[in-house]
Amino acid sequence: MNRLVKLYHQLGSPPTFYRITGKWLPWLLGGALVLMFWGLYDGLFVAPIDYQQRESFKISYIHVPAAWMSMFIYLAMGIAGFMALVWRMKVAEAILIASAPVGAIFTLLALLTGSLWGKPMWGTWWDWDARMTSELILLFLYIGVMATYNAYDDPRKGARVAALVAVIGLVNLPIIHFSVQWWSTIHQASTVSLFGKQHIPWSMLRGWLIMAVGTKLYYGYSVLKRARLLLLETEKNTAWVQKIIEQECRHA
Amino acid sequence: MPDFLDMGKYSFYVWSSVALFFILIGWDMFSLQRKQKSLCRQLLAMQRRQKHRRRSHRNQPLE
Repeated sequence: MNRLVKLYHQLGSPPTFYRITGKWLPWLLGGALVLMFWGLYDGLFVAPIDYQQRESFKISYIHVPAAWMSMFIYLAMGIAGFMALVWRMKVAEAILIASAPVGAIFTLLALLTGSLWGKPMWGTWWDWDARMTSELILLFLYIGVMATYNAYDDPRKGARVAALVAVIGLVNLPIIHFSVQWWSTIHQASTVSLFGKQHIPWSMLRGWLIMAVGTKLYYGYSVLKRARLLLLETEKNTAWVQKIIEQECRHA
Repeated sequence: MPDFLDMGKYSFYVWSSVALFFILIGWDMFSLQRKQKSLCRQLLAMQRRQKHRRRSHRNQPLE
């Protein structure tokens, strides 16, 4: 436990964060690519065909992990936003801003693949139903965070205002999750529960879980790499960045 | 279409979803690489300007 606390404090310092996370990046990307290819292969070619939805169910091996990630990343962004507001940590600000583009990508992927799944199953590409509308609002929240940050000349001020937008937007997460219970929607109810009974056989669940871990590793790679670049940019006049430029940019 | 790629009447929807996945993730990876290169160029140029300014300051005669 002490080692974890120590690591947390070390990661709060931009130069140490840059140095430590640099070692993680190749492992995160490698693990993400292996697991995402494996999960897709398992879902597309190994998992059995659903008796009702037939082959269209295969879309779920992209749609479901993307939808999970859209909410997971927003939660991570909200926590980083809270830390940025309360403790004014530069690294938390960088994590917050770096999470928005990759979160928006997974949200867009969930919306587009949902549309591609909805057309053959429901007969429509889109419906203003509670689950879809709240997921679309999530995409706008991600765009809002990026736009707010870019609207300020001072990146630290921009990050603090963006953090406020991110924290306020957290209220949308339970709305997305419970939308299928609170309102009558055409979207199906949750199939997987963390603690309850599963409504899906292991052979079909496996692909989702592999993709869930793979996409999380990819988020780790994308957010750390982007946060490192943001820190280089905002700290460009410091001695540690000058050293990094000498070491890394000369060979780039 | 080869047998293993055949998704019945849902082929278009399934393979479009797979294509979207690779396009969006690929675009994210590509934009990160591009951002890294452009930032490096920008920071190197800034460092060169600072060195040049320091050198010209040093060479100025004292009044």
